Amino acid sequence: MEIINYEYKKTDNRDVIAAIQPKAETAGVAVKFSEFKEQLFCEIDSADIKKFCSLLNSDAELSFEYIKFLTAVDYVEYIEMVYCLYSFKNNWSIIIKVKLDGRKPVVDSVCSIYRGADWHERETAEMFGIDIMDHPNLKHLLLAGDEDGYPLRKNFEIKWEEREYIPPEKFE
Amino acid sequence: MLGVGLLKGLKTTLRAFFSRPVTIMYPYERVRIGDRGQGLIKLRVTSFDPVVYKCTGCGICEKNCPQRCIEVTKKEGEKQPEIYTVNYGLCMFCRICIDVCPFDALEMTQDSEHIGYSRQDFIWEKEKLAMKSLYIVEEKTPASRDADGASS
Amino acid sequence: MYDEAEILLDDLPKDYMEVNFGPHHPSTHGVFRFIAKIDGERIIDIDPVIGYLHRGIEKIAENRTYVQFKPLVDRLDYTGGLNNELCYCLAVEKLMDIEAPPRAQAIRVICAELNRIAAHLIFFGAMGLETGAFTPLLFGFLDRETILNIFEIMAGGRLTFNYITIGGVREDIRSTVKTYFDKFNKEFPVKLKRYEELITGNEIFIKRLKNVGILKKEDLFNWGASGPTLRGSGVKFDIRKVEPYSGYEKYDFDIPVGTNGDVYDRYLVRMEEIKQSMRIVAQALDNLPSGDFTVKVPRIIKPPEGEVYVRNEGTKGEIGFYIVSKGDKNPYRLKIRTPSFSHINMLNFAASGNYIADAIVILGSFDTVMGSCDR
Repeated sequence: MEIINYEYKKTDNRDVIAAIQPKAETAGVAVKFSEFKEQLFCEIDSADIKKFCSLLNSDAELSFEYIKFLTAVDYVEYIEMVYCLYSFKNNWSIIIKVKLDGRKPVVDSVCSIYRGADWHERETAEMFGIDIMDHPNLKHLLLAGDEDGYPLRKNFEIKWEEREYIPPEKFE
Repeated sequence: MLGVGLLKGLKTTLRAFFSRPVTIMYPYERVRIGDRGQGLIKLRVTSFDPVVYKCTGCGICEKNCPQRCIEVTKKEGEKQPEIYTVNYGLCMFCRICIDVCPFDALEMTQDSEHIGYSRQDFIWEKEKLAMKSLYIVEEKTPASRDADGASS
Repeated sequence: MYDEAEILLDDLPKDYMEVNFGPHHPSTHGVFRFIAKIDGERIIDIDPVIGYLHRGIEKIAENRTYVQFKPLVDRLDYTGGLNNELCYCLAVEKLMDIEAPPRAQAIRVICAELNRIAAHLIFFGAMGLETGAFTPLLFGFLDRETILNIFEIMAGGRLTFNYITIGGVREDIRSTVKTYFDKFNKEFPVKLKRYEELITGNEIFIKRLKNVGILKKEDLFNWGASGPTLRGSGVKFDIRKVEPYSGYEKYDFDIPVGTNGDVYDRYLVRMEEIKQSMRIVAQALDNLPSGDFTVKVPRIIKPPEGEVYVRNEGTKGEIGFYIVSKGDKNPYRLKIRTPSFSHINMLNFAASGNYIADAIVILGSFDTVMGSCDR
């Protein structure tokens, strides 16, 4: 097996935008870029996520072949899916954001493109109640499945159970 | 050649076999933990007769405790805590209470052993918390704080 | 004649057996359960079951202040607590536009690297245990004890520290740390050489590990693997080099890589990383910058609105914190990306087709910690 060496490369977000923009346009994905603290955020429509991810993954120049993580954020009115991708070749990383409807969130699975997203999607699905389409195995992962509601939603109440202390009966 | 690696490994084993034991016979021999070590919390006292705590009962530690294991109350107009309890059953020895205390009224001791027969034994009252210091606390200078009191 | 027998065997109904491992099995490194479907001795499919150590840390974070949450970060990957703390503090500092002073950065590097050595020594012991040797565990823990004593002098804790704070470290490093480390640095390489003689060159050990669980780098990229697991397959990728944080660019160290991508390479990479970490700590202690060990931060930490993802090279791979702040005292959302979660996700892929005894070795080579997997 040959050794590939990745070293420190200075990156500029403008280069990333310049590389992604024309390819996304030809694929028919409308991307809105924004920057915050040297991080690049791309906002796309929820229907395009699978198309956009497969474009980023398969394109030889971009080669975003590594998924750092995938999660969701509950903003009460809407739920936002967050995908963080990384390109080893160029040392680029982007954060893709997808807005979902807060009452009935549905999104396509990217599991067929990034197999590492499998459990991340399962976790997100059970924690936020997001319906992830075409996921091969959407079982409960971390939770037992007997809780009412979705734990990481904002409307999920944590019950602070103050238990009264009952001393044990004396041992004989 | 097969077996050379095994013999080499046996050399290491033999060396360990004839070296001194590294274990400590715990209840008879004890290791003192370092003076930055995370032990039980001590309430500082400025005088013993009558008992005057350095604590003013402001309740900042109660608010900042992540585990909600401290309970502080004080009477109106007094500058002493009326109730000060620490529930060691919940405490995780993170030292946040010591960091946030504006009056330097709390101190971490090097006693880490706390046992009890019931859960009630882990809830320490202010008298018991101050009992750990049966001496009048001197103001520690930064130099003496840096002195190494750790075991090795 | 022979062919007929073959056909007859194929026609028989396939009788697969299901074997349950764990949750309380010594070789699963904590409370991890998997159901292996086996055909004879070969594994066909593994169904991992996690969540036994799920504590809802991400939800707790939303209800605590930034400082109050910090002690819990140690409890994610409890073999490398300071690496987790470092990552969390870097994330909050990035949100607040704070930079730790040079002395604090050097102290943080010392902490992180010493903790890496401690974690890899546990791996060394556990790897021996997985292949049926009990002695390495005792040797590994013996030397880890020396490192934990150094932590006790420096940080106060042995496993859970709460030492690295937002804006620096809690207390200044002591001069005695250097004395203790120099002593350790003198003794440890000799010992490490003996340990390597003990099992690295052992024929049985090599036979168990070599050419087992070979992973290709393309697959590892796709599965989101990181850290020594990725490096074992010939990918010279280290976040300390590629995205330097906390002043890692100042230190001279090498990134060990494997060539085959099997379990033995992952083992060798980790053993080599111990030596490199020793080099980094020695350099950092020699050139410790003077100055403050912390910057002044506001008493109540309220980062401005925004979201950051910060990652660093933990002991098992990429640890990352994704924090969404709305300008409150509490984080609005905090997501923790842990290497163990991604690696256990990969277990079915990595272990299918191998012998059942090798599945344990493959799981051990990822060096997973369930506290960091379940969160």
